[in-house]
Amino acid sequence: MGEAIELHGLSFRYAEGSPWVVRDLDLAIRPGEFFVLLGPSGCGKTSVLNLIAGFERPTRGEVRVSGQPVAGPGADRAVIFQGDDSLYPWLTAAQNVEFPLKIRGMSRRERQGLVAEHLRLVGLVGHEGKYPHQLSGGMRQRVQIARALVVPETRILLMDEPFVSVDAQTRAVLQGELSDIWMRSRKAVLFITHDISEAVALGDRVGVMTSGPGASIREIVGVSLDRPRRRSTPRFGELYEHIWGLISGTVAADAGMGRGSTHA
Amino acid sequence: MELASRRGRNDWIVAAVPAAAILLTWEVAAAATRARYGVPGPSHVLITWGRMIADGSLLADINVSLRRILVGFAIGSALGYTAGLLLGNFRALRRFCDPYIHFSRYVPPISLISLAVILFGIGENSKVFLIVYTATFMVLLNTIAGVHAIPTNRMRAARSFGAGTFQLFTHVIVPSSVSHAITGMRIAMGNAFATIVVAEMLAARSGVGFLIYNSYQYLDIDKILIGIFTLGLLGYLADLAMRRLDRSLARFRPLGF
Amino acid sequence: MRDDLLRPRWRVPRQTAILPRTWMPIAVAAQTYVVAVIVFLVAWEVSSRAYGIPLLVPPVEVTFRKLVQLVKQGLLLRDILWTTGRVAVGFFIGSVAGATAGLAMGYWPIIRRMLEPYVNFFRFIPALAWISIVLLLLGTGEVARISIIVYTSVSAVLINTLAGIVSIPPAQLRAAQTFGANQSQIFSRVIFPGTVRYILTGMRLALGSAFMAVISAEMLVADQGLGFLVINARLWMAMDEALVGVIFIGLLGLLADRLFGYLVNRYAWRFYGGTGSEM
Repeated sequence: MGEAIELHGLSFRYAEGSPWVVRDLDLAIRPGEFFVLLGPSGCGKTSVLNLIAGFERPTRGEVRVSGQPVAGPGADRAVIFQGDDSLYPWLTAAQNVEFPLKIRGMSRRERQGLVAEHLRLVGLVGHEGKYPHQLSGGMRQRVQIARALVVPETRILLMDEPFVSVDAQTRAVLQGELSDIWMRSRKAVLFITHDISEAVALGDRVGVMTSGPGASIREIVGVSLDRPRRRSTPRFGELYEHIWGLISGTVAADAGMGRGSTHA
Repeated sequence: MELASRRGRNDWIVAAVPAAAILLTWEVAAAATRARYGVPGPSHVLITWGRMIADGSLLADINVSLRRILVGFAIGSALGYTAGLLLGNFRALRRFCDPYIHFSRYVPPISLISLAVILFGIGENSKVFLIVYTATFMVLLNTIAGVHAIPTNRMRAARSFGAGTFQLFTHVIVPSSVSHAITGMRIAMGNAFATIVVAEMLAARSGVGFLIYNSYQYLDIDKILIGIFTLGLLGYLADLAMRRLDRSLARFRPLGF
Repeated sequence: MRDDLLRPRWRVPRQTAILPRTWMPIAVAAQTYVVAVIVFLVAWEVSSRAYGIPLLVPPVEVTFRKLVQLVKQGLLLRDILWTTGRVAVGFFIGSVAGATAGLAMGYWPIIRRMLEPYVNFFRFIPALAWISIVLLLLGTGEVARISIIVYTSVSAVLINTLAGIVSIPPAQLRAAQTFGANQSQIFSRVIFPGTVRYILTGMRLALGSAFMAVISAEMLVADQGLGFLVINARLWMAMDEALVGVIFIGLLGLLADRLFGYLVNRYAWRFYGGTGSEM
């Protein structure tokens, strides 16, 4: 079995003559792997995800998923979007999770079983009948995760800073749950974030990007920590410092800032 | 698949082709049946339009209609904005006026024409009154909405710096609500055109509305069409002016006021 | 309108011994309405006496007697029914046509590019400016009046539908694509439900302009309807009759708007994502 996702010399820009958003990116993500793409804001992380999802076409180079070149969006790759406006406000939590199954023409009985199972998986039992606006930010992200996992054909989860708009405590809880769900489902994950500790807490490998425009990957850091991971261990701190070193070099060159202004 | 509008270089061709086809058909059909129906073709309409501009008759009608609108619009906007600021800020006053505002906003201005003519006579005042009414309520309602949309913290901040009620008005409430008021004025401008046309058809001897209705009596189809298109043009220009006004004022409130 | 204070609070709760706390504001609102009507009537009576010409500013009593007379003759009911019927038919046809055209334009860029310049041109022409042409083409019957209402309704609904389609978050479309939804599924399950609230906003505006249009049309060419009642009153200098007409035009418009808002809040609230319909 080959790689889950392969990027070969991937370059992207919106129009002829406009600056490169992504430049000469090579990457391979293995089946069942949790890969984190880490980089400062505006470095082109989301563009990489859009290219893999099939929302955009590469200007140069190639994206392959399970060995096949990507022709457009497909059910083998589920996307969990940044923010929560991809949920359908006129559908309840359960109906949102059911949506992809309806699109696929699945029978009512099959749908009900899968929906119930995945709502249970993300801990939304008791909230099935609520509409997105009646749910907290964290719950909405759980709905998104359930909706992404519910399609049986899904092999890859593409997650675009899914927890960026929830509070810190909820984020930590969701990260732990995601880690559990991933270990059970063994689907490949591409997770995008700008939060170093999130990257170290979740990823098997962390790809640190250079800052845009024309971004590519500076270094891939392997995270060989046992799960569930604890942030208080020395090894966690070392990895954090190492990655921060890589990023701050990139950012400081841009922003003229030294190491002193560490973020949380 | 993205639904945001994208404009291409050749957009106008796509739109122009059906228009050209319609105009051509109209021209040919009109020419073929001229003897029987006397319907003017587009070229004939254009010629009449040019003649009416040249002899000043069209400009005279435009002048009359525009003056009615602008006078009424200015008075109505000023009234509506002032009242809106007061009603938006003083609860007791608003509670008192609430029922009247509710009721009045559902009374189309034109339905007051009989009252206006009986009270103010057939002259200019009755028409101006209708436009004042049109503008006042639109601007009033939008100004109140604008005052209520001001974030509480913006008001509290000014208070904490020691601003008094007057300063609160001049430094926070007025700049914050201007944009809403202008939105109201834009809508009011559209409604003013709709009102003045009918008012001039019913109770006037001049103006573009009168031109349209009077030409109907004489079956001057070309003049009817000229009146209609002139109104569209004026309405468009007035709307453009309102948008310009909003944008130029927006420069003075760059922080999202 | 954003301001909830501008929404009428007509519903007076059934009388109970002790009004629950939450009902108090409604009771207060009811009081303000009663006060408002009384103040209005008193002011009217005073200004009528001060003016001194009952023909121009008729006293309350005279107007009320006129109202009773119009009701007894059945004329008021007849005019109300005609006006309501015309608005209902024109509004319905115009809304369906406007929403259909708007969805088509939003969905197929080619149609949009073809029609958009015309929409932008025609929306600045007031409906009633067309009356002469309409009368020439369609005669002076019901079709002419209703077509004017259709015209105003179409433009309001169409423009709002277009705005709605553009405002659908791209993430919603992309999510559907990742689930393998085809074009017609995206249209029926994402674009249309996502646009419903804008269509309804357009319909509410259209309802207002439909009343404006029907009154104007009835003033210009009709033998029944509230617009006719008002304009006919002017010929006889019957100020009392004109006043009755105006009051009922306002009431009818208010009632229609509230009914529409009620139906939207009752049946279409899901499409507002918790922000409330503001109707």
